[in-house]
Amino acid sequence: MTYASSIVNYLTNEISHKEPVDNDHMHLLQLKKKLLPLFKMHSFPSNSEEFFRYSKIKESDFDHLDFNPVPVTSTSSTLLLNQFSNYFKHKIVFVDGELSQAQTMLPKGIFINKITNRDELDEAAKLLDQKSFFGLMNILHTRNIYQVTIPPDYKSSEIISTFHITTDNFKQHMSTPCVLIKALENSYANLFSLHLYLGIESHYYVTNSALYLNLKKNAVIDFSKLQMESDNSLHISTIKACLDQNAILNTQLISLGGKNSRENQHISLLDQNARANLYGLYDLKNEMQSDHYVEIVHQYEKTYSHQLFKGILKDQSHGVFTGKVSITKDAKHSVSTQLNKNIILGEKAHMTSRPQLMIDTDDVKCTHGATTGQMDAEQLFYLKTRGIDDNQAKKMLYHAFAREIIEASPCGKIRQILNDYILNNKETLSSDQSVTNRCQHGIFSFT
Amino acid sequence: MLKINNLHVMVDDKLILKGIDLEINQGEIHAIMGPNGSGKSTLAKVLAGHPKYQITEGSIEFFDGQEYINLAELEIHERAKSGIFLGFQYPTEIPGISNLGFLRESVNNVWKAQGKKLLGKDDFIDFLHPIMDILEMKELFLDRSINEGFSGGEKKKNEILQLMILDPKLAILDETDSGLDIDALKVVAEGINRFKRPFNSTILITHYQRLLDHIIPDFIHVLGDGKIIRSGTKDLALELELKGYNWTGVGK
Repeated sequence: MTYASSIVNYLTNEISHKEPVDNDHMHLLQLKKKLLPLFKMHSFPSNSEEFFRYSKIKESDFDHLDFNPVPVTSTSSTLLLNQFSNYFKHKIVFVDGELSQAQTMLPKGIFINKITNRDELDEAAKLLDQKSFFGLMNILHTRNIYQVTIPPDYKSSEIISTFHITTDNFKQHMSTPCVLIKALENSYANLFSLHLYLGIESHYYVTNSALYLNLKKNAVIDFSKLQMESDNSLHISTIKACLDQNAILNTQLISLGGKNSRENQHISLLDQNARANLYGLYDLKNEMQSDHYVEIVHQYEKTYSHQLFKGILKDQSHGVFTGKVSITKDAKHSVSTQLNKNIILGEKAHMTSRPQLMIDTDDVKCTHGATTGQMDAEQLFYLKTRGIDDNQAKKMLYHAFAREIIEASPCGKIRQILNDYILNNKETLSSDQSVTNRCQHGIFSFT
Repeated sequence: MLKINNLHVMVDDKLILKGIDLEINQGEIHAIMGPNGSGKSTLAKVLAGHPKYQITEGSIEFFDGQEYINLAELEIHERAKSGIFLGFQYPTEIPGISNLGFLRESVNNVWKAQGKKLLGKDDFIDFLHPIMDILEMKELFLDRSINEGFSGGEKKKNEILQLMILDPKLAILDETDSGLDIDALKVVAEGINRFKRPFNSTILITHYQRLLDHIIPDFIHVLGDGKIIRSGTKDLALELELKGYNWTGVGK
């Protein structure tokens, strides 16, 4: 079944009728030419498909994108960016979807490079998401696929951050960064990813980002992501990870922005003692939608996964959580837990929570659960009887609710950043910034 | 300090208090006793402003230091700022908020409203230490989440710590003695006795005489079926201990 839209037409023109601009792009273009027919076979995901059931992403979201945007006068403020930049010495910087080599600085021994070599591209292609509509769209639209290699035995708690900055230099554009991180044997890396919009006025744009994580034997990755896109944007993100023996992946996804955001995580636990701990927090207001879709496949015995996702929903917002765990027949003695907890603050806000377990073997330990309710009235009453007004009390309870997710990061600096920006996001609860300020100065500090 | 006139209170469409009249002056301790379900805790909650408890008739007037104000017109946090403190029968657990952060937030809010000078973090901890010593509380209490995992005695001590640092004009202590062993009861009673001074007042809600061995009330009131059915001095508690609540005519 074919389907036509501006994005398909654009990609067809870009890929089918063009020659590579240089040798670096030759193999990627060949890969794109191979994948384009697959993409054209797809219809736009609809709500009748299981993995897309409650999504509000529509085909029309892509209709008005400008694929050859002309730069306009920017009114972007770098204030927030500077704040973040001060936190991180080492960073990979993407501006409007393109790598900015000038702003990128990495620790000794770590490099980011374009995948241009055929062999490397063939290897990368095994991990790339060639099945889903948005995965294919990302590969076909991205200008380059980048690779970061964490060398064997590399162990540093120094944060390697990736900034995905969107300015208002372009209107209605789409960015499709694609990064592959290969963590080699016995390595440890502490990764932080920031998606930040710098424009003054919130305008519409689409981010369709992909991050591929390949964890070799005994590799450990701590990955935290803070999503602060424009309130009017569409943010689609896919993390696909493969874990070898004894590898550990800890992810922490914080969604604070975007009118509509979709966070996909596909985790494959390929060998014994591979372990994935996934944490998430979404804080929604107005008509925002945040959709966290998690798929974990236990493919080997004695593999472990843990999920804890929390949401706070105000106004008319909508949260979706799908946590899908498959324990295959080869995954005996595996353990999987998942929990989704939500607080509904808006009368018209709603939550769709779908914890799912599919178990094809015996002798496993699995739990799943979900709770959705209002803020605890007795806790609110208790705080108020101590002279704390309604807004402050709600902020404190929100903070307490979010704490478990923030504390999932082993890194004090990241906990502090998340603490500060999650609290800043509470400004709509009160015009009184005193609680936020005090929290930032350590009274409720986690660190 | 407090004038309660013909107070009627409803919870979930059920009338619980059916005409309470009570006047409490500065410096007085009033004990309110009575069997389960007589309305003691309802009286405590309505004074603190719990939203579930609706006043259907009567009034509560509170002297805020300058004039008598209609308590029903104040929000919950405003009552605390004007000098009302409720010590909970079952202190609420709030995971994720440190006790220290909470105590300081509370004190800052109340003191700011009262025009007192606020303390920095270190000064605040120095201010807490002697009070915690009286209550035999360890420093570890400050780092833990509010009441989370506290034993019954620890929770009640935490309530009395808040009472002593907020130093309200009127303390309403709802079954502060429940869940306490003999030693903890003495410590808590010591805290309450230190709090008592000529310019403040206390309402002690209790089932048993044993707390009144340590804290001598000026008046005792027996609540039955939503009304005060008997008032007297401390001897009334001893009589109740001997004869039981039925003697007062509760339930007849």
